[in-house]
Amino acid sequence: MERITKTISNWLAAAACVVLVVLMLITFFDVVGRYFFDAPLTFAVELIGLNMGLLVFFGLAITTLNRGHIAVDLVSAASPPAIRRFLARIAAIAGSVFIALMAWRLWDRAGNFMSDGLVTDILAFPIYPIVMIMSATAGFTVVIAVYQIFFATDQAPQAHFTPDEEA
Amino acid sequence: QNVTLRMSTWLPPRHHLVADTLPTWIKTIEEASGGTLTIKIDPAPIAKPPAQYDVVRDGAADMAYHVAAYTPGPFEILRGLELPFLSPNGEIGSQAAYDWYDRNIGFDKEFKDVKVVTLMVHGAGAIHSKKSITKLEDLEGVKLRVGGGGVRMSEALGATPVAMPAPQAYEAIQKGVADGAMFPFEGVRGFKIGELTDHHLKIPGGLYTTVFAVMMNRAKWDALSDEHKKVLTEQGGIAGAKILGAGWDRADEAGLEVATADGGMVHELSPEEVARWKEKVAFMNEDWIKRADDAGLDGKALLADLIATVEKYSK
Amino acid sequence: MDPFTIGTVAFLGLFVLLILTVPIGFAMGLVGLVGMAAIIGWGPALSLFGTTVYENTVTYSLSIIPLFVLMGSVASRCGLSKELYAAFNAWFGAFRGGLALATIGACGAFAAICGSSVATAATMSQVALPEMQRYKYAESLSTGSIAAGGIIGILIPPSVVLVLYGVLTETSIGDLFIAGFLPGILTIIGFMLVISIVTRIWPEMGAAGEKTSTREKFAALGRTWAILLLFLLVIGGIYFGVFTPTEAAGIGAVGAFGLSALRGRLTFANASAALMETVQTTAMIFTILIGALTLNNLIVFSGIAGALSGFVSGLDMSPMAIMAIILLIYLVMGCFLDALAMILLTVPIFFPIVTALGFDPVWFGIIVVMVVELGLITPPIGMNVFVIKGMAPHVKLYSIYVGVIPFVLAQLVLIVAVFLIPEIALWLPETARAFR
Ligand code: NA
Ligand code: NA
Repeated sequence: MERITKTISNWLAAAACVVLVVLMLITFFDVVGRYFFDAPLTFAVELIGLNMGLLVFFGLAITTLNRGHIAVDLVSAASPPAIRRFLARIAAIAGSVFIALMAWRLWDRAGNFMSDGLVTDILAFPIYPIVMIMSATAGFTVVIAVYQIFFATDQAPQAHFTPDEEA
Repeated sequence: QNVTLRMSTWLPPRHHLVADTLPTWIKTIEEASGGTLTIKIDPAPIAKPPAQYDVVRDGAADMAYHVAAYTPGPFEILRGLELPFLSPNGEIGSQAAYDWYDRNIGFDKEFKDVKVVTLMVHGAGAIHSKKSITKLEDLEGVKLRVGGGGVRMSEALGATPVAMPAPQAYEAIQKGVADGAMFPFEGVRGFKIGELTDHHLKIPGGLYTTVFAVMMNRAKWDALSDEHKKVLTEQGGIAGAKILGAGWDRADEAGLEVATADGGMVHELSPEEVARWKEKVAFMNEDWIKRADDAGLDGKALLADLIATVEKYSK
Repeated sequence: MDPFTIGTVAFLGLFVLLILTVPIGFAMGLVGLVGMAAIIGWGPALSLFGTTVYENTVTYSLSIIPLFVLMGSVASRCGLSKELYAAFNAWFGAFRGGLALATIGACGAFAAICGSSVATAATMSQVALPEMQRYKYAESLSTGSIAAGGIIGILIPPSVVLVLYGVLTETSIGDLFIAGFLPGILTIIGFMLVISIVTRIWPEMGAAGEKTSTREKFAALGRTWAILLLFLLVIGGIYFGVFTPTEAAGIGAVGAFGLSALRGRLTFANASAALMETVQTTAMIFTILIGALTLNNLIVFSGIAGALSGFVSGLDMSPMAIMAIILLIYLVMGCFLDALAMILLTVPIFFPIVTALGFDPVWFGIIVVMVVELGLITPPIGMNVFVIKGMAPHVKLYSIYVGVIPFVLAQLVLIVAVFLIPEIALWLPETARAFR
């Protein structure tokens, strides 16, 4: 179970990295096109918008898996491991509920967008598939959050980086 | 019994729509109902502009004004009002919009989940720029800030479109990322574009417009008494469109005053130029006709009737 | 229960959840949603929540956050920021708190131009934090100066917040920009004074390093060309109108990749680490954003703002006293609310009262912006602080808040000064007007 969620989260994160690079390149070519060729990417705004949705929700799983959501750690820092585990459980319950709500409401949005026939302005690209993907990845993240209710950690968060791992 | 309807808003509170135009219309509703029916505009936005339709459909507010162009797809027939050189000002365009749409399409197709009380369009679309623009050639290489709808139009006219949300227009022009913007004259004041642009091009007939639906939650409408429904029907529809459209025209006049008071130059596009511009953007009419045809309607006849309806209210 | 009571209960609930270590975004979102449901019913509340989630993720303008984070992350992973801080150390390291002073300067310059406080905090915590830790600066001082450095930029043009205030109140944005300049500079000076004082009292927080020779100084400076070029590209590009701040983020990210490649430091490991870090940070920041905006909706519905306005306009006091009370209300609200949301919510309500009392709209705008920016670093909800915490999970939130205390005090002093001496804000625009 733990291995599967970890693998899927990593794949989603890799997809998010690709989306991020795409975001960066769209912006870059839009500006370059506007200045040097009088030919901006007119669809840049809407494409970036959709990619932002994917970026956030593709990244949600790995962030949740790594307990990357910030909390006020005053109490937990000063508590023994047993209390820390209890608090982590509460946090995981809140996370499960909140992320499930996001997934559910996005799915509802996607349904509306599909029946309304909502499309992007310039490319006339339908919006509902993107929102469905966002909802599905949020749904997967709920699995991680629920798992964390039962296997709560008593560890304090780890550093993302240390000065010496750099070049 | 007294009823107060909550209206969602997203424009700044000093924007004429919130401060003058909508209140003027709301007052006619209050008077017609003997003070028993009123509309209260929210103090702050609860959702972004494109979400206003959903806000009303799902009942997060009783009413809202929704820009059809902010949600491309569902309201494409109504968006015929946006076609170039069609709507000369707010009062004419708004009345024509309601009359034409109600007669030919009806509100049970594109707006089946809400109750549309009335429609409105803003004044003639104009161009505000740092350098003087009076003919097609002047637009060559000019970076114009446009909303999504204006991208193809400004490309066709030879300008370079810079698409971004309206609130970013000020910074973009100030920085030189854009050399100007498409706005009705109201935007000179409302979005403070007049501070940055010295040249304002009036375009007879209006380069474009934007159509707003003033809508109400379905359940809320059904729950109203027959008297209140009657009041909204009478004060809404074409009558309401006239009042709201006139409000946009008042705001355009105020914007024009600001533009000249700031020392700006106001130009007007000559009839010969209008003809040239019309030719460049004629493809937009064809596109819309095709879209209407695809929806199972007679696009050509619809557009002809729309032009005739505008003509009727121009007299 | 009336909406006002619901609002009050909701805030108590929020406190309990935060104390229980529930992540901030989840806590704000859940409380906001339940509170809204209590006022307008579950159906509409859930619909509105869905709208909030969608509209604030699928949005062009917010791409500024991940792309600037990516720029900072690449610069940090590929050692560009290491070179910058090596030069800072060579030049200023011999002074107590020298690196923190340099950080304030760098943050101020970056924030001033990019105009987004959160983007600055996210970028600079990657550039500056590991480096100050390398030179053994105290956690509180290093994170505090990054958090504080980020808020300087709101006052110095361009400023998204000032544009919003100008559009909301029909005040000249040009005047607001000019008016913000002097208070902005004074904020920088104030923060630098704070660092000098703090490191005088507690020298070990930012210990003076060894003196370096002139030769070493220039050698270190020479190695910084890559990151200086990157800053120049971003700042110059915005300043000369080549691109907007939102676009600058994308250009900056491409630039960071390109310059790292030129320096021969762009390995696959570095690039993928930077991308992964950015992805996680983005999800973290947007979760908080969604929570904060859901909570803001509750505040709109609760009618708290209207009640406050009724309370203030009913006061029988001198204009200055009323103004002081409005200021206090802003300070308290700033503890909880997101900066842009706070302006949207409160300015329409207080602006008519303030102008009716005869106060200058430009002056009020500057004061409001100063107070609102302070809210970004005050507990319990300080967006800049959260972002830094997200970048450095091993740092206790507590020590960041301790670190910002002296900066908050300095900013408070400055706010009171602008309040009592309006000329600090108004002198420049009035002089400029005389020349027009
Ligand atoms: Na700024
Ligand atoms: Na705060």
